[in-house]
Amino acid sequence: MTSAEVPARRSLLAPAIAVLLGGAVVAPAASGDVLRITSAPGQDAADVTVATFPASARADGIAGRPVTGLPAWITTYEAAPGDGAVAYAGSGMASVAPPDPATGPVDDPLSRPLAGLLPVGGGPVVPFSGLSGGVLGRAFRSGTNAANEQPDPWITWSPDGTSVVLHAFGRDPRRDPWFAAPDARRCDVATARCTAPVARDVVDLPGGGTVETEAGLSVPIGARRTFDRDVDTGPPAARRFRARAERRYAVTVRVAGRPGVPATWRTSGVLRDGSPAFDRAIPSAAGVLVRTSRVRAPKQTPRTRGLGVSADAGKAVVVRRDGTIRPLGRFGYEVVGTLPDGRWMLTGGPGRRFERGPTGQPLRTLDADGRIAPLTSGARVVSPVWAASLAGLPDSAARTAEVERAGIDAASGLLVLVMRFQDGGEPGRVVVLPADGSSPPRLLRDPPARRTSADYLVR
Amino acid sequence: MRARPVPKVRVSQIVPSSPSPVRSSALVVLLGTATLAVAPTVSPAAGPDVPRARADAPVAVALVPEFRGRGKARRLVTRVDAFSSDGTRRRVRTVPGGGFVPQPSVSPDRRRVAFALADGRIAVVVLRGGALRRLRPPGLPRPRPADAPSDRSRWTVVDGASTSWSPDGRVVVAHALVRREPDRWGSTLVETRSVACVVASGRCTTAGAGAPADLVPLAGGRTLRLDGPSADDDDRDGRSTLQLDTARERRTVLADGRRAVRAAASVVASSTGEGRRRVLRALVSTTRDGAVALGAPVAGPAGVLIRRSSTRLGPPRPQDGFPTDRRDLEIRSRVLAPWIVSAAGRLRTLPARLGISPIGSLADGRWLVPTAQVGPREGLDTPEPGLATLDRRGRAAPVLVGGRPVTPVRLALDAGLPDTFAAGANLVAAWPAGGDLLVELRDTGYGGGFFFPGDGALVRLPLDGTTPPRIVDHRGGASYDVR
Repeated sequence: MTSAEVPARRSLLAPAIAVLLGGAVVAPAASGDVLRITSAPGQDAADVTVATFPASARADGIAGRPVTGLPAWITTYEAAPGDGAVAYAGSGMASVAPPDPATGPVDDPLSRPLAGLLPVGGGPVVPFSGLSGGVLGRAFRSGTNAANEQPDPWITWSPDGTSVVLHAFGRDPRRDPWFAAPDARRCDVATARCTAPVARDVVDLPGGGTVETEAGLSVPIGARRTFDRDVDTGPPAARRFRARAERRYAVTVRVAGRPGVPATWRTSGVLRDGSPAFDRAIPSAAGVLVRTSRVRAPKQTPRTRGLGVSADAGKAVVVRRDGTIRPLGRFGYEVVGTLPDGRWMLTGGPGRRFERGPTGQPLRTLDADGRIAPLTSGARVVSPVWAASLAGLPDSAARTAEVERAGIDAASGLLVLVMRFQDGGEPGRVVVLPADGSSPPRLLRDPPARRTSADYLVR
Repeated sequence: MRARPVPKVRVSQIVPSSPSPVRSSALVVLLGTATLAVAPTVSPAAGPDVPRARADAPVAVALVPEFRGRGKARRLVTRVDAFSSDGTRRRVRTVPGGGFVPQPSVSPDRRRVAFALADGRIAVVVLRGGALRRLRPPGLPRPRPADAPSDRSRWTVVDGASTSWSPDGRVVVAHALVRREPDRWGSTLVETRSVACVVASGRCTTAGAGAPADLVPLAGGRTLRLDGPSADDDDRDGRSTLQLDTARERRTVLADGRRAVRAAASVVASSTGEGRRRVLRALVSTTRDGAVALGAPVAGPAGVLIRRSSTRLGPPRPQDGFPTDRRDLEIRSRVLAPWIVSAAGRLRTLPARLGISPIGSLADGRWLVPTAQVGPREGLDTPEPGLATLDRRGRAAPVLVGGRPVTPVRLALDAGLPDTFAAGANLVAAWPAGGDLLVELRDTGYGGGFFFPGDGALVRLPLDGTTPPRIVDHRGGASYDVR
């Protein structure tokens, strides 16, 4: 497939988005704002509100307008660069999903992959559909816990905000997630139509072209690669598994759509000894960071039944704006956001298995030349435990704090950290702090009733 | 569970001082309903048997595990370091062996330090010169045949094993010996024993065939003896179901449980726990009434605090309307109000249940506890950490410095310990030192992860809040004692 199969990105004017997303109710957020998506619990559908506010303000009393028609089980949100909507992806019950023209309404409980756009200023949801107008993806019976097993998709926006790419969307949850090759489909914001999936990952490269990645293995999306994943297999599956363990897998990264830039990077290996697997690629203003994990399976014996698979940090590359590739070697960090200058913000450690978790590790930045530096507030290195504790969170929360997303609030220049806590007792919180260290970290205070189910995005 | 509101205490209410040994003027013994009076003894604080410390004697000691040698000669040793009053650190010597984290105990005259070795012996190191003496407890209690279904049942020493000195410095007691028995889940702690050793002669005793669970050296050459099953430090209220495979197995467990279990606190008029006991209070119970287990005793100016908990066996109750297997047994655990044996030798019960162990004490008799939520825990609840005081009525109050609670994460961050340490920091022990507190922190991990040996650190915390806390010492696996 060539890049021509993916709809070309079109320049889209804000008024067009406004019309599509409900006309006058659309109020695009200013670039750099914090977005808070709150959803009240519901059986089949969520009562969702999207609010935007600058990080320099207190969040008290700030409430967005409700979004209608969003099904439950949404797991992924991603805000458009600059002003614009929020793209979502996840799954919902078929009874609340748009009926599939091919099969009609189904009474059995089915889990259906869903994606679309949330109007930031309130109004109806705009679901994505296929090029023919049908719903995306295939529904699965929830009796097999399909809704729970379905891997989380992820979303990337094109740099100009005119299209989104859905990655790992609508994968069959009954397949072994380790052996699912990457896939992507592009959705046009103006028409809300998406292409059929292609069997490789596609991410837009700032400056033009795309970064395309092919791989035989991929890390389950949403899984943390530093954790073991066991494949519970019976004898027939074990035989297949042994056969796979002897096969050579490769990850190949290419730059497409950029004449005169024939950059390609490839790494390979055998599963038994450590094979590269595709991990989520993350774009920024400086390029695209493509990571791999190293997946290993223990040496097999004829009597082996339950076979374990473990993943560890693998090699990574940065594809720069000009299309050149900068190899990074083993890369164990998690990426939590990007800075306006194109640097990626990282949590965790550089090493192999990171047994302590990222709480006490400093946040770091990665530039397009592969340089990694600690993120500081004044002269103080910023770590989740430090920021959480000085912001006034109790020890029980601070010692398990992890940064889920991070960004810079454009209006105030404040560093915004969206935190989650391991024990689940403390809901997600937002901590803001100045880069110059002129004041200590502080919490953005939310109305308590809404905090329990809030997702935060930082543009 | 809703936490009880706790009164706050200002820093000025804490009166630091050097620890004082347990005093005794009269001893009241309760046995059943009978009350016996015991002749008063000389207070060791004023008595001639209290050794005086040299002015230049160390004020703190650290044990640090280290690897020595390379290749096959690589071995683990325990390094003994001493700190003088000006904070100067001095290496005393290394002792072969290690592999766990013992708690050192500095003698009252600050001339020696004792600690348990992994093989069950007790090391006594002279801090000036580094002379080492290993005391071997003779005849460690062997498990009875009926209690030893496997050769894996053995006596051993556990992490955090502690020792303590008699106020006159003649006897050292190791509280660390435990016996574990294998079971379907790995192993279960069956019983613990203390060993008392006369340092001068090297003679050690487990205080007779019916060895006690613990011994606490008291003033005047006396010993507090605790008999009965040992309670886990992590005792909490709760219920669990013991799933048994057969009715026969159920009958066996019930028959074991119906055996009378005695938990008692006694005072023995000898420094090694041997001899005739004067029982302060005893409980004889079966699982019908709930067997009472005793926690590790903690000595302080107000006396010796002994945590208690009860365990009952009974038929399982239907849960959420679902019937249970009749072969199963329900285990109900309940934390009880602790006993306190006062300096006067009087036993009383704290008028509140206590779910945590003190980590230090103040001269005014209050205990230092690692959280203000001192009540019993339920299920998987974990109290919010923060240094607090516990008074003789069982009331807890957070210690505030500069208007803020003293929490382990914040204390570690403010002192400048690494953020990775702060994330796993816990309050281990605290000692008053002038107008400050010396606080031992240990990085024991979080979120279900436990790291061994965790880093240890000793932090000086000015209580007036005018200057930030500072690190006295920080070493991998270190443990400390302060006099």
